[in-house]
Amino acid sequence: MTGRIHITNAQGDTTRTWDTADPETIRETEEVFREAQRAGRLVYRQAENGKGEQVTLETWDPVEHTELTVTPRLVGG
Amino acid sequence: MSAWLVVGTTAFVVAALVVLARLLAGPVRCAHRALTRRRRAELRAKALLLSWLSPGQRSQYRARGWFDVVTSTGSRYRVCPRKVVRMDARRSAYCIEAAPWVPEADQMLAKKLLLETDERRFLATAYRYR
Repeated sequence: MTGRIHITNAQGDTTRTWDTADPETIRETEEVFREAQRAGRLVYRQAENGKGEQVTLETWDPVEHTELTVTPRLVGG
Repeated sequence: MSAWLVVGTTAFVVAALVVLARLLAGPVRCAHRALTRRRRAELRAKALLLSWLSPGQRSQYRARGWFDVVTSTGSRYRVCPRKVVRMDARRSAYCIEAAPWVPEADQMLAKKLLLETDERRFLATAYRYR
Protein backbone atom coordinates (compact mmCIF):
# COMPACT_ATOMS: atom_id res chain seq x y z
CA MET A 1 0.00 0.00 0.00
CA THR A 2 1.16 3.53 -0.73
CA GLY A 3 0.84 6.57 1.52
CA ARG A 4 0.99 10.21 0.47
CA ILE A 5 2.12 13.34 2.25
CA HIS A 6 1.27 16.75 0.78
CA ILE A 7 3.73 19.46 1.80
CA THR A 8 2.23 22.91 1.23
CA ASN A 9 4.62 25.41 -0.30
CA ALA A 10 4.84 28.32 -2.76
CA GLN A 11 4.07 25.90 -5.63
CA GLY A 12 0.80 24.86 -3.95
CA ASP A 13 2.16 21.62 -2.57
CA THR A 14 4.66 18.89 -3.21
CA THR A 15 3.49 15.31 -2.80
CA ARG A 16 5.80 12.58 -1.55
CA THR A 17 4.84 8.95 -1.22
CA TRP A 18 5.92 6.01 0.87
CA ASP A 19 5.42 2.30 0.53
CA THR A 20 4.03 0.80 3.75
CA ALA A 21 6.21 -2.28 3.14
CA ASP A 22 9.40 -0.33 2.46
CA PRO A 23 11.23 0.89 5.61
CA GLU A 24 13.47 3.17 3.54
CA THR A 25 10.58 5.28 2.17
CA ILE A 26 9.04 5.34 5.67
CA ARG A 27 12.33 6.68 7.05
CA GLU A 28 12.27 9.40 4.36
CA THR A 29 8.75 10.38 5.43
CA GLU A 30 9.87 10.46 9.07
CA GLU A 31 12.50 12.96 7.98
CA VAL A 32 9.71 15.10 6.44
CA PHE A 33 8.03 15.06 9.87
CA ARG A 34 11.26 16.12 11.59
CA GLU A 35 11.81 18.96 9.11
CA ALA A 36 8.21 20.10 9.58
CA GLN A 37 8.55 20.06 13.36
CA ARG A 38 11.82 22.00 13.21
CA ALA A 39 10.11 24.65 11.04
CA GLY A 40 7.12 24.93 13.41
CA ARG A 41 4.77 23.34 10.89
CA LEU A 42 1.97 20.93 11.76
CA VAL A 43 1.02 17.64 10.12
CA TYR A 44 -2.60 16.50 9.86
CA ARG A 45 -4.61 13.52 8.76
CA GLN A 46 -8.32 13.40 8.03
CA ALA A 47 -10.19 11.71 10.89
CA GLU A 48 -13.31 9.58 10.43
CA ASN A 49 -15.59 12.59 11.08
CA GLY A 50 -13.91 14.42 8.17
CA LYS A 51 -12.16 16.89 10.46
CA GLY A 52 -8.42 17.25 10.83
CA GLU A 53 -6.37 15.49 13.46
CA GLN A 54 -2.81 16.46 14.31
CA VAL A 55 -0.22 13.77 13.76
CA THR A 56 3.29 13.83 15.19
CA LEU A 57 6.22 11.56 14.54
CA GLU A 58 5.34 9.78 17.79
CA THR A 59 1.67 9.18 16.88
CA TRP A 60 2.12 8.50 13.15
CA ASP A 61 1.23 5.01 11.96
CA PRO A 62 2.57 4.57 8.39
CA VAL A 63 0.05 1.79 7.66
CA GLU A 64 -3.06 3.46 9.13
CA HIS A 65 -2.37 7.14 8.40
CA THR A 66 -1.76 7.06 4.65
CA GLU A 67 -2.98 10.54 3.69
CA LEU A 68 -1.19 13.43 5.39
CA THR A 69 -0.85 17.18 4.88
CA VAL A 70 1.89 19.46 6.19
CA THR A 71 0.48 22.96 6.66
CA PRO A 72 2.56 26.15 6.63
CA ARG A 73 3.71 27.79 9.88
CA LEU A 74 1.17 30.42 10.92
CA VAL A 75 2.08 33.72 12.53
CA GLY A 76 -0.01 36.64 13.75
CA GLY A 77 -0.52 39.21 10.98
CA MET B 1 16.36 67.95 -47.85
CA SER B 2 13.18 67.66 -45.72
CA ALA B 3 12.44 64.23 -47.24
CA TRP B 4 15.81 62.99 -45.98
CA LEU B 5 14.98 64.40 -42.56
CA VAL B 6 11.66 62.49 -42.48
CA VAL B 7 13.34 59.25 -43.59
CA GLY B 8 16.13 59.71 -41.03
CA THR B 9 13.75 60.45 -38.18
CA THR B 10 11.54 57.49 -39.07
CA ALA B 11 14.54 55.16 -39.21
CA PHE B 12 15.71 56.43 -35.83
CA VAL B 13 12.28 55.94 -34.23
CA VAL B 14 11.97 52.41 -35.68
CA ALA B 15 15.47 51.48 -34.47
CA ALA B 16 14.69 52.88 -31.01
CA LEU B 17 11.44 50.87 -30.86
CA VAL B 18 13.26 47.67 -31.88
CA VAL B 19 15.89 48.20 -29.17
CA LEU B 20 13.20 48.98 -26.58
CA ALA B 21 11.16 45.91 -27.53
CA ARG B 22 14.25 43.70 -27.19
CA LEU B 23 15.06 45.22 -23.80
CA LEU B 24 11.52 44.66 -22.52
CA ALA B 25 11.01 41.17 -23.99
CA GLY B 26 13.05 39.47 -21.24
CA PRO B 27 11.32 41.04 -18.22
CA VAL B 28 7.86 40.64 -19.80
CA ARG B 29 8.50 36.94 -20.51
CA CYS B 30 9.82 36.52 -16.97
CA ALA B 31 6.75 38.21 -15.44
CA HIS B 32 4.44 36.09 -17.59
CA ARG B 33 6.19 32.90 -16.44
CA ALA B 34 5.94 33.98 -12.79
CA LEU B 35 2.24 34.72 -13.20
CA THR B 36 1.64 31.32 -14.81
CA ARG B 37 3.55 29.59 -11.97
CA ARG B 38 1.52 31.49 -9.38
CA ARG B 39 -1.80 30.60 -11.08
CA ARG B 40 -0.76 26.94 -11.20
CA ALA B 41 0.16 27.07 -7.50
CA GLU B 42 -3.22 28.61 -6.61
CA LEU B 43 -5.00 25.84 -8.55
CA ARG B 44 -3.03 23.11 -6.76
CA ALA B 45 -3.71 24.73 -3.38
CA LYS B 46 -7.45 25.01 -4.15
CA ALA B 47 -7.60 21.32 -5.09
CA LEU B 48 -5.92 20.36 -1.81
CA LEU B 49 -8.24 22.62 0.21
CA LEU B 50 -11.34 21.22 -1.50
CA SER B 51 -10.22 17.68 -0.70
CA TRP B 52 -10.28 18.63 3.02
CA LEU B 53 -13.58 20.54 3.13
CA SER B 54 -16.88 18.97 4.13
CA PRO B 55 -19.66 19.11 1.48
CA GLY B 56 -21.22 22.11 3.27
CA GLN B 57 -17.91 23.99 3.51
CA ARG B 58 -17.17 23.14 -0.12
CA SER B 59 -20.39 24.72 -1.38
CA GLN B 60 -19.79 27.81 0.82
CA TYR B 61 -16.26 28.17 -0.53
CA ARG B 62 -17.33 27.68 -4.15
CA ALA B 63 -20.23 30.12 -3.88
CA ARG B 64 -18.73 32.82 -1.65
CA GLY B 65 -14.99 32.23 -1.28
CA TRP B 66 -15.17 31.53 2.49
CA PHE B 67 -16.32 28.69 4.73
CA ASP B 68 -17.35 28.21 8.36
CA VAL B 69 -15.55 26.06 10.89
CA VAL B 70 -17.05 24.85 14.17
CA THR B 71 -14.45 24.16 16.84
CA SER B 72 -14.55 21.50 19.53
CA THR B 73 -15.86 24.12 22.01
CA GLY B 74 -18.76 24.87 19.67
CA SER B 75 -17.49 28.29 18.50
CA ARG B 76 -18.10 29.17 14.88
CA TYR B 77 -15.45 30.93 12.83
CA ARG B 78 -15.62 32.16 9.25
CA VAL B 79 -12.38 31.51 7.36
CA CYS B 80 -12.09 34.17 4.66
CA PRO B 81 -9.13 35.02 2.44
CA ARG B 82 -6.70 37.04 4.62
CA LYS B 83 -8.87 37.03 7.77
CA VAL B 84 -10.88 34.89 10.18
CA VAL B 85 -14.02 36.19 11.86
CA ARG B 86 -15.54 34.75 15.03
CA MET B 87 -19.26 34.44 14.37
CA ASP B 88 -20.55 35.61 17.74
CA ALA B 89 -22.15 38.89 18.80
CA ARG B 90 -18.79 40.68 18.91
CA ARG B 91 -17.64 39.49 15.48
CA SER B 92 -13.95 39.63 16.42
CA ALA B 93 -11.66 39.55 13.40
CA TYR B 94 -8.25 37.85 13.41
CA CYS B 95 -5.25 38.22 11.18
CA ILE B 96 -3.03 35.16 10.87
CA GLU B 97 -0.85 34.28 7.92
CA ALA B 98 1.65 31.76 6.65
CA ALA B 99 5.37 32.39 6.87
CA PRO B 100 6.90 31.99 4.34
CA TRP B 101 4.22 32.78 1.76
CA VAL B 102 2.04 30.02 0.32
CA PRO B 103 -1.08 30.38 -1.89
CA GLU B 104 -4.22 31.70 -0.18
CA ALA B 105 -6.05 28.34 -0.30
CA ASP B 106 -3.14 26.65 1.55
CA GLN B 107 -3.35 29.37 4.21
CA MET B 108 -7.11 28.88 4.57
CA LEU B 109 -6.55 25.13 4.96
CA ALA B 110 -3.93 25.71 7.69
CA LYS B 111 -6.34 28.03 9.57
CA LYS B 112 -9.22 25.54 9.28
CA LEU B 113 -7.12 22.67 10.61
CA LEU B 114 -5.65 24.70 13.47
CA LEU B 115 -9.12 25.90 14.51
CA GLU B 116 -10.51 22.37 14.44
CA THR B 117 -7.66 20.84 16.41
CA ASP B 118 -6.24 23.57 18.64
CA GLU B 119 -8.45 26.66 18.95
CA ARG B 120 -6.40 27.89 21.92
CA ARG B 121 -3.22 27.89 19.87
CA PHE B 122 -5.01 29.69 17.05
CA LEU B 123 -6.16 32.43 19.44
CA ALA B 124 -2.68 32.69 20.98
CA THR B 125 -1.07 33.06 17.55
CA ALA B 126 -3.55 35.26 15.67
CA TYR B 127 -3.64 39.04 15.96
CA ARG B 128 -7.13 40.26 16.90
CA TYR B 129 -7.84 43.61 15.29
CA ARG B 130 -11.56 44.04 15.88
